[in-house]
Amino acid sequence: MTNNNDNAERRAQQQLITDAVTAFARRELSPAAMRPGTISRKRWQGLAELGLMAMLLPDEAGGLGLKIGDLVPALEALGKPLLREPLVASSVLAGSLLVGVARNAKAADLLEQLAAGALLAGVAWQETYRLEGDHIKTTLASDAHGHVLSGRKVLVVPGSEADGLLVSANADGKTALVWVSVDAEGVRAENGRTADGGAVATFHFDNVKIDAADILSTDAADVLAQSLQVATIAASAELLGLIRGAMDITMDYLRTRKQFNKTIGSFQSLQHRAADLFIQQELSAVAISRAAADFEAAATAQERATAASRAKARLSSAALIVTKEAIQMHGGIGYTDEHDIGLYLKRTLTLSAWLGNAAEHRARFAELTMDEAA
Amino acid sequence: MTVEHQNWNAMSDDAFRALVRNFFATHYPEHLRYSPSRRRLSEMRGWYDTLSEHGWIAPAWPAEYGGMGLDPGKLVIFIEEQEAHGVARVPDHGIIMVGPLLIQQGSPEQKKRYLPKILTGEEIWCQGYSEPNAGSDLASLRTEAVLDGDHFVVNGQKTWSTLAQDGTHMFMLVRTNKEARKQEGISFLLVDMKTPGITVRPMRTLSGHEEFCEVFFDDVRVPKENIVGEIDKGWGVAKALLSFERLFLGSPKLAQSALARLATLSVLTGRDRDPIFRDRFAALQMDVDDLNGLYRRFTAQVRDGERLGPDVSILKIWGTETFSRIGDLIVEIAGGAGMMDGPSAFDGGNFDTLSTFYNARPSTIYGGTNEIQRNIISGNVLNLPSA
Repeated sequence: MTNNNDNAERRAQQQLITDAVTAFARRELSPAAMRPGTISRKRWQGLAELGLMAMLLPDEAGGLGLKIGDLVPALEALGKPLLREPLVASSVLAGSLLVGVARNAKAADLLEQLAAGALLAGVAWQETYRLEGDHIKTTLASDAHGHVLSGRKVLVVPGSEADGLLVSANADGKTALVWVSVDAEGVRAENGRTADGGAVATFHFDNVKIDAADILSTDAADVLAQSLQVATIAASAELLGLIRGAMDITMDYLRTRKQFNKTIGSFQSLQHRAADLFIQQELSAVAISRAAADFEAAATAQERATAASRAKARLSSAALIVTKEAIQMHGGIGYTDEHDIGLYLKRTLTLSAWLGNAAEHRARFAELTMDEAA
Repeated sequence: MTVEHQNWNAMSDDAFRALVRNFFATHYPEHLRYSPSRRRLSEMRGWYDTLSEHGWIAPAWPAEYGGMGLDPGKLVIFIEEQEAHGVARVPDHGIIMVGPLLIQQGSPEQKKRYLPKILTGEEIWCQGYSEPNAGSDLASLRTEAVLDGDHFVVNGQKTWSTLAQDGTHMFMLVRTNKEARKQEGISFLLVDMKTPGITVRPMRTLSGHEEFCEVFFDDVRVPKENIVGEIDKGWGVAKALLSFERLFLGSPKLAQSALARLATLSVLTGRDRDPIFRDRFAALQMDVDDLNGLYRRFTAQVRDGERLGPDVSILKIWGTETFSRIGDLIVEIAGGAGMMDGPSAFDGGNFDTLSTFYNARPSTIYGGTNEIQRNIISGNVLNLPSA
């Protein structure tokens, strides 16, 4: 158990980070900036200058050596005004993977670029639309002539806007992790858009030649699982920011919009629903902070997975409840692109489905917890 | 009474927790653990005496008044251990409401007269707030107390007085000024239940228990000095108790024990293998986990000496509604046993299907209905305008 002084010191440090991030968010972010779907490299650089890319990196990799619990308030602050840049996908997830295999020279090089804000990486791990188990069909075959990657990955963020991809592959029954440039020969992208207008792609790898130096690991299953859990908690933290942002806008609307000569927030039917949304917000805040603490304190893979599923199940569900109600409370204007509140729903749709929606994480949570109890 | 006065607060948290845990394990009667409904005084008298003899009956009271004088951190540990062991409430209105109130706002004579007998259990208190026409709108209460020489003469009717049939005394709100704005003409009065003119009528609840009573007052003469605080200022006296009550009512213990019952029934019915059930159980499990998280957040606030804000209302709403959803699912998976009064025999064991369901009904009503709690959140937390 950590003592109170450590906690106080840690809270103070988190506050410093959050203040810096909040100031950045006020300066650089706005819901309207979500509308053009493209990533701003300048903002990406700005996020790196805040130290965000380096937060989870260990000291020896030039990072801050912080924990997921320290990142949570920062992501919350960035999620609130809406963040177009794929911080969780391309920094938290990619960064955790690279840290996990850091003894590799290429990975160390990529980490350095990532920390400097010079790298936008995609992580290609998923092969179906389901929250999957361990079976990977994409293969990394090796013979005397070299290494060849073949297969298909879906839902890769940020699609073709990525500089390169971290791809998981089955190498003789073990999970390999390789670095692939998006314009390498044999790589084909089917570009799409996520609900919030962001770039996403399905990548096909057709006998793509891989340099030995770009094979970052040949035994990355645990690193991949743990990195996905970190990213899942991080995405949940961003969802908490979305909830807070949508709540602020909506409560403001209830306090000012007039119909029947009264502010609509004076109507009890709306007041009680607003109170229920507030409960969802507070449950979400509690769920995230406990999940982060549980994750940090976890001794087993099962405990880490449980913490991540707990967070994502609550946040995916709560954020959808809040943003759907936000549209309803705004009435017709909420359904138009004239008003920013709809952007919150769209961002929520994206983040709540990504890395497993509420139902998938409930099922996983049940698997992880119920049978041991029964 | 042998009060071993100890400096509990100087102990380490772990040592104190171990001591409390051991105390409950050693002294608390096994057959009273995890009680599904409120216990009567006759069932709890022995435990009251045990606590009283050890000086443990009033953990939150300052030591100078005969309490344990626990600081908020130790008090939270005490309550957690009490709940973990499934310790039922003694009739505790005197301990958790009247005592702290008198210590704060009572006269020296009142403290001397009433506090010791709460500690020994010689006097058992009940509450007289609600009336047939003053429920959610409590401030519209009409039971009146008119000054006549050295006495107030009380006339009217109180209701929902929990276990008033076991009470020797009542703390009540009465109207002492009909001209003033409705919150401003109310006084806080202490009444001996043996005074002529008081009639107590227990009411049977849907669950079949006699948990609360109507109490009628017919020219009941109450000494003038039994008023707490100033005349006509009783609303403020009563309000001081409310946010603490909401924390108490939002305790996860109801939902937690209900979830354990649901898990038991799911094994008895084989539904624990059903993916549809598992999804719903997982959701409820997380609802209870997050309730726990919220509860800890608020108790930490108390521990750090902060005042509880109006947002504590979310705890009562979420706790009781989670409890209620669990009760619904118990009835649902019980199938036909949902029609049975009392326990049904499943292969593998007996199970009382409806007890959780029944207990959930009043929980969303008492202590300020959940609708009133939502009014508090929308008005005082979200600052939505009043109608």
